[in-house]
Parts: sequence; C-alpha cells; structure tokens
Amino acid sequence: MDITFETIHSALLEALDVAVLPSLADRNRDLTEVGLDSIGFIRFIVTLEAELGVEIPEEYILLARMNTLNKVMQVLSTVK
Amino acid sequence: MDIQGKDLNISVISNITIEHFFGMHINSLFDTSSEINYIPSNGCFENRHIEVMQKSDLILVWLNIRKLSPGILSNIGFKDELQIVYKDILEYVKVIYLKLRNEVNSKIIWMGFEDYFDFLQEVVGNILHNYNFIDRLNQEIKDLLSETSDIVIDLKRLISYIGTRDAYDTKGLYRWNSPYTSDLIYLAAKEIFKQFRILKRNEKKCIVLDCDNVLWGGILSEDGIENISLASNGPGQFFQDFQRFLLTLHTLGIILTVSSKNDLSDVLKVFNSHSEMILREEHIASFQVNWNNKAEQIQLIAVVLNISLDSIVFIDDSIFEVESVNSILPDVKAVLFKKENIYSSLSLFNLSLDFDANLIAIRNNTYQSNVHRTVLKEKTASYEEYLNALDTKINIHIADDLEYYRISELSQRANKCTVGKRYTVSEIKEKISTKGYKLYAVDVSDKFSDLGLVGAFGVIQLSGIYYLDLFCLSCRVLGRNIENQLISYVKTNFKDIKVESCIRTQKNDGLIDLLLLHLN
Repeated sequence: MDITFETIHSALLEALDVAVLPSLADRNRDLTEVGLDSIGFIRFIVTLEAELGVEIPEEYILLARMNTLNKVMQVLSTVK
Repeated sequence: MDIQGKDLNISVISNITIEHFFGMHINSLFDTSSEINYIPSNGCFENRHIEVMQKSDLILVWLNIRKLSPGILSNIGFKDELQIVYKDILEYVKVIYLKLRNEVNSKIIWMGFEDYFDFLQEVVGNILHNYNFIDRLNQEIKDLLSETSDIVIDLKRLISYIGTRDAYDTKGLYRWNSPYTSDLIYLAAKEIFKQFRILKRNEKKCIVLDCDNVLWGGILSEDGIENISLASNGPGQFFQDFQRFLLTLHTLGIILTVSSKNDLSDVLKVFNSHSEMILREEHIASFQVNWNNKAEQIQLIAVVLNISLDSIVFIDDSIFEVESVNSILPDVKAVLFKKENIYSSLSLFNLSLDFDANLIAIRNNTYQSNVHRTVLKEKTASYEEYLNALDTKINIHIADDLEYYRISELSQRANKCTVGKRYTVSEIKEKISTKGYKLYAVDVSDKFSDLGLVGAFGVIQLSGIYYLDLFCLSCRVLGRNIENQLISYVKTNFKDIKVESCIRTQKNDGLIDLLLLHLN
C-alpha cells in the first residue's frame, strides 16, 4: 500500500477508535491535541506497520518523534 | 452488552502491557463503555489502587511468567534450582491473591501462566521438560482460587486456538512490554466476557430436543429401533458423544426435554431399551412425543415445567421446524442441528463448574415431579382444591452461610418473582455484615418432592423502620400461592415494612406491583 496522508489518517482513526477527528489540515498539528496518548500511539504504530507492511525502526518509535502527520510521513518515507 | 443495567468496571493487574487492545475488545464485546483500570502488579496494593479495585465488578490478574522469572528457561535439568523458582513464584501468587481477597469483594479472574514462548523445542524437539513446571503451577493456583470460587483462565488453550505464530508479538514484547497480539488479547477479552456472563448466571435453563437425526441417526418410525444409528464407533458415535455432552449439561443443571413427532411408546423404548443410549428416561424432565406441531409441544413443556419460553433452547435438524418455532415462538431460541457446529451453537449456555450436585438433583427432581403435579391438577375440580391436595409446606428461616451460594444463584436466575436485585455471594456476605440486616431462606416441599431452597428475602432495620431489600422466588414454585404467603409473612413479622427499592426487569412488574400494594 502506498504511503499517503489518507493512510496515516485512517490508521490514526483506528488507533483512537473514533469515526472522525478534529481537523488535521495543519499537518504540523500535535496529534496529542486530538487524543493520541501513549497507549493510542502503540495502536497507531501496530496499525501502520500492519497496513503498510513495513517495520518502523526502534529509534523512531517515540511519540515525540511521530507526533504530527508531517513527522509520521517523514519517518515512513525513510523506512519504505 | 450491558448485562446488569450499568457499565462494567474492571481492574487489570498486570506486569505486561495489554491496554492498547484490551479495552477496545472489551468494549466491543460488552457493547458498552466499560471503565478499565490498569494497575501495575508492582505496587498494586497502594491505597489509591485498592480504592479503585474495591469499586470494580471484576479483577483480572494477568502476570507473565517471563517477566516474573526471566531465567526460567535457563534452568533446564537443574531440578533443585527449578523447584526454588517454582516455590518463589507460587509464594508471590499466594501473597497477591490472598491480599487481594482480603481487600476486595469482587470476583477475581486469574490468567494462567503459559510457556509456549519457549524456543527450546527448536533444538530439543517437542518433548516434555522442566518437570511440567507451568501446568503444576497453574493447577496449584487453580486449587488456591477454587476455595473462594474464583477462577483461572487457561491461557495455553487460548493460545492454542490461534497458534503461537498469531498469538505472540515479538516486536511488541521488546518495544513496549507487550508480548501478545491483538488476536490473542481479543480471545482473552472474549473469555472475560464469557466468565462475566457465567458469573451473572445462565439465562437459558432448558433444552428441548428433537430425536431423529439429533439424538440418534435415522428416522425411528421408518427405520425401526434396530436400524437407528447410535453406537460406540462408526457414524453412530457422533450421536453418542452428543448425548454424553447433553448429559454433562444435565449434571450442570440444564433441564433436558424431548419434543418429537413420533409415537411415545417407540421413543420410550429407545430410551429404556437401546443398549447404546447414554440418555435415559430419568434424565428427561418432559416428553412431548406426538404428532402435534413443535410449537405446541414446546408451549406444553413450558407449562408443565413452569418455565418461561425465553429460558428454552430448541434443537432440531429440520430447518422447517426451526423456522416455524422462530416464527410462532420468537422468545424460544431455536437452533438448527448441524454436526459441524452444534457444540459452538450451544455456547449460548453460560454454566459454572462450581455447582452443587445435591441442589441440582433436587431441582431436576422438582421438574420431573411437576409432570405429576400437572396430572393431579387435571384430576382435581378447582385450583384451590389442587393446591390443598399438593400439601405444600413452607419453611422460613434465617439463612445460614451454607445457603448463601444458593441464594446468590436464585437472585441471579429469578426473573419473574424478584425485586430485581442480583447479588453475588460476596455481596450477600457484605449485606449480612451490615448492622440490622437479616436474610431469610425459604424452603418448600409438597407431597411429590422436596423442592429445597426456592426463595429468599432480606430485611434491614434502619432507625426503627423495616425495609425489604431482597425478595426472590424460583419460577418452579410460581402460581402456587407461595408468593402471597411470603408477602403475608413479611407483612406480619415486620410491622410497617417498606419496599426499599426495586429494579424492573420487564418481567417482574406483577411482583413489584403486588409488593407495593401490600407493603407500602
């Protein structure tokens, strides 16, 4: 599956177990502001890896390093 | 599923991370937003955690043995060292469990240990080793918890359902201390759901069984008794095994009945004379064997046994019969018998292995003697005459602690004749320890049988005023004027008693109205 912001957004919805999210038009918006906590972050990573068939290196798996859509895209671009 | 009219509160004590999937799965199964508190096993007895646990409906303890003893697999062949580890872990479990039991009244569910993560078999093969360490440990924990009716879930069996490849999350283990996949955690959540339903007691009480191609293979009226398929090997073995399963359900308190389009004499001949039958006439509370339609037969069974239609599960191999019962009697759960999935279809029963065989024997006897009562009723001229002829005796006494389990069971099972309050044994003990609270047990017998403990009520005196708290009566004695006699007893012995509060169950309006009429 291609890495797109839609894919990331969809994984985020699944991780947060919600149907809709507040606007994420600003791709630098801190995802913790829309409810992503440490437990949701684990689900987010598990979902992303399963959906995209990738393995995110351990050094990136920190909420602080993947807390905006742009940062997530950047990390995923390096592993693809 | 909101089983008790309120959201579920669960405390999870663990040394691993499961919360990223557990809550999500629990909420999807219970169809509610449960409150789940995750408490690290280290430090779980801090006051703030104890306060949280005391408010929980369930406490799940899930300890991972690798986290407790990382070197457990390196003790191969060192029996003495392994024995020390074994004792240390068991002691740790005992301390946690006994302290928990001392602090909280909630049901405790313990997740058993497992050692399928052991990669040693890759080099030594799949042989038993480590002196059966994990199984012995689980057995000792099970024995410890059984003393207070708590339970241990067989985690090894859960893993076996999906296999180790799909159960373990190696990345998760080293990233965030989460050794199990979402699939395995889902199975664990499903098991918690099942156990919660068992704790809240089974809603289904009776199975109505078709005979041909359900209890035996073939058509009795066409093939004859000598040609039906029922044997200890070959195709007939399936039916014998199914009968064994039914007999186990009977032992666990499920009423077995028969509804069949056949001649009664032929069917009874099979039950009494066929050497390969596992079920015998004595196991069947009611035979409705005639050429009437199945819906009529089932309705008669409900009347004879004095049980509600929604407590009945009907099993038949004919889609026509299943559909017709579905349409005429929508309250009855009709199950299409198929060899490949009949056992999973019966997972709608939620039964506890913690049962009292004597009580169940009395209950089964009562259902069977209900048939005799029906015959007597038909013979007597009026209902009053019939009640007199039954020679019913009611014994009301302060409940003793041996009766708490039965009263708890009764409070959970009663649907019609109840104020709607459902208490676990722990909750009953808590009530009893309240100043001014008295719990009464009601035994009933008649000329046909001793029905045993069939009712209970609890009264609390506060500032000189009596309040009725618990009131429940088994449906087995409904319609025999016993509820009125009990209300009269309560009214006479507890002057100006008031009904404290009631929970309507959609079926108990009649009783609540009766209580409010006489007691308030």
